[in-house]
Amino acid sequence: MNAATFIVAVIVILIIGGAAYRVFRMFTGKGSSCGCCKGDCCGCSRNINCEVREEEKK
Amino acid sequence: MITAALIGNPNSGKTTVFNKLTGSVQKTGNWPGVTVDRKEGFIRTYTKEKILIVDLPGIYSMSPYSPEEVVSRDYLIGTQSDKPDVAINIIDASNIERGLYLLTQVADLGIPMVVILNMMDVAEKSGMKVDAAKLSEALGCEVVQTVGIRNQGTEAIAEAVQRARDEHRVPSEINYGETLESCISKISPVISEGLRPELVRWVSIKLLERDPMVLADLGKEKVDAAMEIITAFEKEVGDDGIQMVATARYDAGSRIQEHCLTRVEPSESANTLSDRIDRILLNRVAGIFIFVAVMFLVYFIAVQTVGTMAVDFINDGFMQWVSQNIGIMMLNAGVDPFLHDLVISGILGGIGAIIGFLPQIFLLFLCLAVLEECGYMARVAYLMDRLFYHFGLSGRAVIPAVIGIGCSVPAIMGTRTIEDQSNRTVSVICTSFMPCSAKLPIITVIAAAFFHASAIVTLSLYLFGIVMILLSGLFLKRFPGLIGKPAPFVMELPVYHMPAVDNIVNNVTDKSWAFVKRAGTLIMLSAVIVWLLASFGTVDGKWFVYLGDNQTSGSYLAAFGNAFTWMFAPMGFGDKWELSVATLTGFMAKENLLGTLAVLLDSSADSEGFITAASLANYTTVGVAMSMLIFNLICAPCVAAIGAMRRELGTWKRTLMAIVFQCATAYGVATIFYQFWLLSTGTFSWMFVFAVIAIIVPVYVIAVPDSVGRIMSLFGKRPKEESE
Repeated sequence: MNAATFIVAVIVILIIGGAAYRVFRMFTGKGSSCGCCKGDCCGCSRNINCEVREEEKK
Repeated sequence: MITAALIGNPNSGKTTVFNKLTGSVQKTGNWPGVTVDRKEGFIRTYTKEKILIVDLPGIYSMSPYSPEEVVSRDYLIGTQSDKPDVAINIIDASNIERGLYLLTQVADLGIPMVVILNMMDVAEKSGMKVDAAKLSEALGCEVVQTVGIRNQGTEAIAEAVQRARDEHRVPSEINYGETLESCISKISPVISEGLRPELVRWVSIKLLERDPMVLADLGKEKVDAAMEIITAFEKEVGDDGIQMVATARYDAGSRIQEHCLTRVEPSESANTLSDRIDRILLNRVAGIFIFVAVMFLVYFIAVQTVGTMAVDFINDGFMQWVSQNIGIMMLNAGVDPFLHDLVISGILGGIGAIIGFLPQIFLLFLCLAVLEECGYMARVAYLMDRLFYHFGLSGRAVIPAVIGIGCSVPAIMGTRTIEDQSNRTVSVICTSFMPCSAKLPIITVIAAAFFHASAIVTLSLYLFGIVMILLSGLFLKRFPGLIGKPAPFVMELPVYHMPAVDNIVNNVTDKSWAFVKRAGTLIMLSAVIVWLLASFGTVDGKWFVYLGDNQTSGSYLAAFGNAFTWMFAPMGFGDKWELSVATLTGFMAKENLLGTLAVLLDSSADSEGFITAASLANYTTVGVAMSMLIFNLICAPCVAAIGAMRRELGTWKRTLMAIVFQCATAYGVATIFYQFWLLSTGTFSWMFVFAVIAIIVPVYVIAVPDSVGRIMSLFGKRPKEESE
C-alpha cells in the first residue's frame, strides 16, 4: 500500500465513519439528548439541530 | 436567564416577531411528548440578561380541543419540567377582540405578562386607532406596539420582558361580573389545597367550563365538591357555566376594546383589498384552476426552467469537474483501483446524483415559502375543503397534504390539528401519497428521460397524489374504526401581505441545509453500501472477490435483487433487479432511489457514474419507469416518516397496517398502470388479471354498502357496531 492509498483510505474511513455515526444517532434517538424529543425521535434530519441546541444551552 | 413564552392566535405575526427577535439563533425540533413544532431562541441583541423565547403553537383558546392547545397551556401552567418566567401575548392590532379572548385566559394564570400589539400598520389602514397606554392601564401590564414584518418596535420587547420578570408584573385580574365572580370565590377554597396559589383562580374557572383535562387531573374529591357548588349555581342562575364563562370573556374583551380603541375613516383597507382578491382566488370554479396554474408555475420555475439550468450546471459542470479531477489525482498518485472506484462511483456517484438537485429543491421550497408567507396557502386549504368533504375527509387534511410537498414528516405531524381520531388516522395514512421533495429528483430524471415538459409531468404527479389521497380516504372510511363524518372546517384566512424576507430565508435555508445534510450522511452511506454489495461477488468458489467498477452482474446485490424482483413482475420490472433494489433502498430515504440507480446503472454518457436521463431511457421503457415511479410515490414512506406515523397512530400494529395498506395500494395502482400501458402497446400479458383484481377490490369496497362487513363475515367475523 503506498502513501496515497493510505491517505485516501483514512479519508474515506473518516467520511463513511462520520456519516454512519450521524445516521446511528439519528435512528437510535441518541441525538435527542437535549430532551426535546425525550428519546422518541422521529429520525428526521432536524434531530441534528437538537444536539446543537443542547450545546448552546450548556 | 429569563424564559419567555410567546403565545397568540395564528396569523397574529408570532413567527415574524420571533424571527426578528432571535434571528439566525432560532432552532426547530420536536416538542417533548407530542409531535408539534417547537421553536426557541435567544434574543440576539439584548445583552443585559439572556432571554430565551419559546414560541408556542398559535391557538385561539386554552381549552384542550386540539393537541396544539394542550401543548401551549401545559407549558404555560408548568406541568412540564420547564416553566416560563414571562408570557409574551401577541395580539393582532386589527383584530383585538379575538386576541383578547385568549389574553383573558392567559391572564387568569397569574404569570407576569407583556402584551405585543402587532400589525399596527394593518390596524391603521383599517381605520383603527389603538391607545396602547389605555390598553396597558386596562390590562395592568406593559404593551409594546410593533410592526413585526418591518422590525419596528421589536427592540422594546426585551426591555419589557426584563421589567415584567423583575417587577413581577402580573396582569390585573379580569372581572367576569358579579355573578360569576361569586361562584369562583366559592369554588376556590375547596380546591386550593395542594395547588400553586396563582393557579387556583384559573382552575376554578376551568371547572366552570367543565375542562376535561382539569377534571381528570384534579382529583375526585375536589372535583365532586366543586361540581356540587357549580351545579347549584347553574340552577340558581338558569344558565350553564361554559356559556357564562365564554360570554364573560367576550364581554371583558369588549370592555377593554371600547376603552382603548377608536375607529377613524380608513385611508386604505387591507381587509378590503384581500376581500377583492379572494373574490377571484376563492371562486368555486376559477379558484381550483388558478391553484393548478399557480402550482404549474411553481414547478415550471423550480423543475423545468431555472431549476434545470442550475441542476445541469452542477451535475454536468461542477460535479463532473470535481469527479474528473479527483479521479485523475488518484490515478496519478497510484491509489489502489478499488479505493479509486469506491470514491468515484460509490461516494461521489451516489451523493453527486442527489446533491445536484439542490437547486430544484431550493427553488421549490422558495416558491412554497413565498406562497405560504403571502397568505395564499391558507386559501388552498379553504378551496380544497369542499372537494375533500365529498370524499369523507376534513378540509384540515388539506394542510398536511400541502406541507407534504416539502416533507412527509412535518406533514404527518400536522395531522394533529385534526380533532377527530378517525379522520386523523386516515390523514396520517394518506398524507405521504403527496410526492415530497425527496421524490423530486427521481421524478425529474424520469420526466427528463421520457418527456420534454417536465413541469407538466411533475404537476400531474402532484395532482395524482391529491387524487390518491381522496380515493384512499373514500376506501379507508369503509373500515370499522375509521368510519365517521368529517368535522366542519373553520379557519381564519390571513390578510394578504408581502412575504417577510427573513421568514422565507430562514425557512428555505433550514430545509435546504437539511437536504444537504441528509445527502451527506444517509444517502452517501446507502450509496456506499449499495456500491460495495454491487461490486463484490463469489467467483470460482472464492468469496468477496472484487468484480471491478460497473460490473454488477454476478454481484451479491444482483443475487439478492434477483431473489425477490419477481414480486414486481406485474408492475413491469420483474426482470430488472436494479429497479427492485433501488425501490428497497428508497425505504431508508426516497432520495436513495436515484442514488442507488446512479451507482448501479452504468452511465454510458459519462464514466464518472452520474446517472443521466439518457442512460435511464436506454435502460428501460417509459411504461416500466413510470410504473416504478408510481409505486415509489405512493408506497410506504421513508423510515423517518414511518417513525412519525408510529407516533401519531400510537401502536406498531396500527403503523404496520398503515404500511401494508400503502404498499398494497402502490402495488395495485402501479400494476393497473403498467398492464394498461402494455395493452396500449398491443401486448397482452396474463398478469393483466392482477390489474383486474386491483380494480375490482377497491371499487367493491367503496361502492357496495357494508362491503367490509360482508368480507369479514366470509371469515366468520363481524365488525363492531359503530356508535354515532
